[in-house]
Amino acid sequence: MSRRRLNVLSRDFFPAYVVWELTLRCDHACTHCGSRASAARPEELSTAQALDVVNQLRELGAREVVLIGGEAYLHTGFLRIVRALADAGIHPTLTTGGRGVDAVLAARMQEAGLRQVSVSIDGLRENHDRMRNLRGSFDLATAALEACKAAGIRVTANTNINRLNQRDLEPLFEHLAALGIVAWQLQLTAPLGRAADRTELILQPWQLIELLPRIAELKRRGFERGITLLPGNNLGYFGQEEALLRSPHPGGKDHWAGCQAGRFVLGIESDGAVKGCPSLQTSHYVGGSLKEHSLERIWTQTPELAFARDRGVEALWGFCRDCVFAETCLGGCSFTAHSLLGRPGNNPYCHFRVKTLQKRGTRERLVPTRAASGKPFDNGCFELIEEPFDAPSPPEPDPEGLVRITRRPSRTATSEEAER
Amino acid sequence: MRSNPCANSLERAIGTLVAMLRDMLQSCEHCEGFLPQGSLACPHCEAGVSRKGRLAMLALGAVSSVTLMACYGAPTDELSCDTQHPELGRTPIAVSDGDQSQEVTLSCGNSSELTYLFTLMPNEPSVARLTWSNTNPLTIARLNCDATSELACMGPNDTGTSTFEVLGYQTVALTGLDPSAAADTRVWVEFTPTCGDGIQQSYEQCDDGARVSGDGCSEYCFVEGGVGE
Repeated sequence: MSRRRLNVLSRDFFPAYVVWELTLRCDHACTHCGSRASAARPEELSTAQALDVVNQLRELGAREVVLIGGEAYLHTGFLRIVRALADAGIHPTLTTGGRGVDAVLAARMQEAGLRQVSVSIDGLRENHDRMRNLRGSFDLATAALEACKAAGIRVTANTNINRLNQRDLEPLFEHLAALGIVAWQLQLTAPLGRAADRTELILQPWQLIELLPRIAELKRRGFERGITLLPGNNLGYFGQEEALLRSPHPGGKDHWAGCQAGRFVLGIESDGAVKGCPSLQTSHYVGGSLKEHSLERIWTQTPELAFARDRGVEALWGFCRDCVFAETCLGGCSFTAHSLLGRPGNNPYCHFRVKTLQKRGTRERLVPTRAASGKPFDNGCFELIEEPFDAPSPPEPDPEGLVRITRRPSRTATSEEAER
Repeated sequence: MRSNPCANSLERAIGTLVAMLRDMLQSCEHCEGFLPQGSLACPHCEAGVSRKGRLAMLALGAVSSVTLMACYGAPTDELSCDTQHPELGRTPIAVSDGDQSQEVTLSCGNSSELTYLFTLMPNEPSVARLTWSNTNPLTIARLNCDATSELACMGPNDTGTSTFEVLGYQTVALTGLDPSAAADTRVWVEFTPTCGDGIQQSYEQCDDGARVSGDGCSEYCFVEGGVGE
């Protein structure tokens, strides 16, 4: 049975792919972290509560659970939860910054049933350490990949792309290939959480015109080297390279088929809050808490989980509403659009859109307006300015300037409150 | 009043089929970019869409299966597990749908590999018919990430055939070839859509053996006239 490959046109929705934040406690304090991870949330699920959630996931047919944090291994029940997932027939996976993953932990994870790990590496040493706010982080992440591979765990990687690190992609591919990764996930840094405070960090939409063909070339290189490169949900959309980017095999004809949040994807926060995708804004998309309701009830009965199930083109706005791919695409990634413009349905980070605008001689520039609140998975807001394609671009800040806070969180006038 | 226990499944089937018809996208013959529904010109390279291309857009050719992703999740390793299998280590040969049978020649020179992989990629749920000629014993198996299921085991000097339903991408392994005979081994792959074969199966609401609309069963094997009529 394919775990992650499903007929997404089916309306028999179930949480096939689950991303579960076990704790917000973290041994990094990354400058771009969407959940603003560092300390644990006030009332996180205990090990006993988490084991009950494993049973509920099994009953709903979950196929794969990715454990994240913070750092999932900092939850006291981490290994028991991994083992419980494996025993339940649910494939357990870990996404980690890797700081604490040494040979001992790698061996214990493998013994518990973990078969795959994804280490977050966001550039070569200098840029990765700057983004991760920790000197030596790159070397620790590299060592984590080596330790996991030595322990018999399949190793993969994931990378956020932004103005700081986008030039690192090609040499980073070589670094990761040499470490023996079998898959690599690339996604754009969206202005979520701490990245919303650093507005210089994120790419401007027109930069996709140059970026996507480079990623397509890396995809071809990956096919030759046995590495499956797949774009995350907020990267791509109907450029000429869409089939190449989205397909798992050479010659495939896959394409983006709409946001799967609450359809076949589920996110759980460490205090039991449930939403349709792990990256969705906590303020708008939590359907309920596992401390108060069953997962089955939250999945089937709350509108926050169902927002992507029945919507059509009428839910779109701006460029996306009139786009020729509107019915298939449905506005791309929901959390990314929301993090930019305050609601889903209009996503300027779209390859087809930026190329269409380029043909018209224009481009869109994101200009920050409201600040974020400073809470996990929050967002500010941006204004979208259409300007001539050859308009002067803003000066490129030095690397330190790209991770500097440019818009301090405001706890008095948050974007969430302004939208309500 | 008694409820119809089949109503929900019928409604789901209708919803799925409507979505498939709405979402199916074909590629431009010139630039390989996707064509929106009903377009007369490619939005990428502006080449005109041929009559054949427009007809193809009317055929049931939806890409309905995708790989689930999430930005805080992890890349899936299962897609590479066939190529990373310690006994395999070879990128599968992609076999796409087409008008004609596709011949795949297992010509691998002096390779010592004993297993050959195919990824079958039909445009719609189909019966895949594999025909091969070989001079040495051969097994053929469906390959999934965590399990392998044998489809056929052939003796030497057989010309064999195996047919099975393929709903989405499916990797198939041919094992046991003598490396020295690999260049002499041929495999033919042919896809036949299950809709139109006269047997109601898989996602089909009906199958009258024809792919024409207006006779009560549509060209997409969907009951015409609405549910219950």
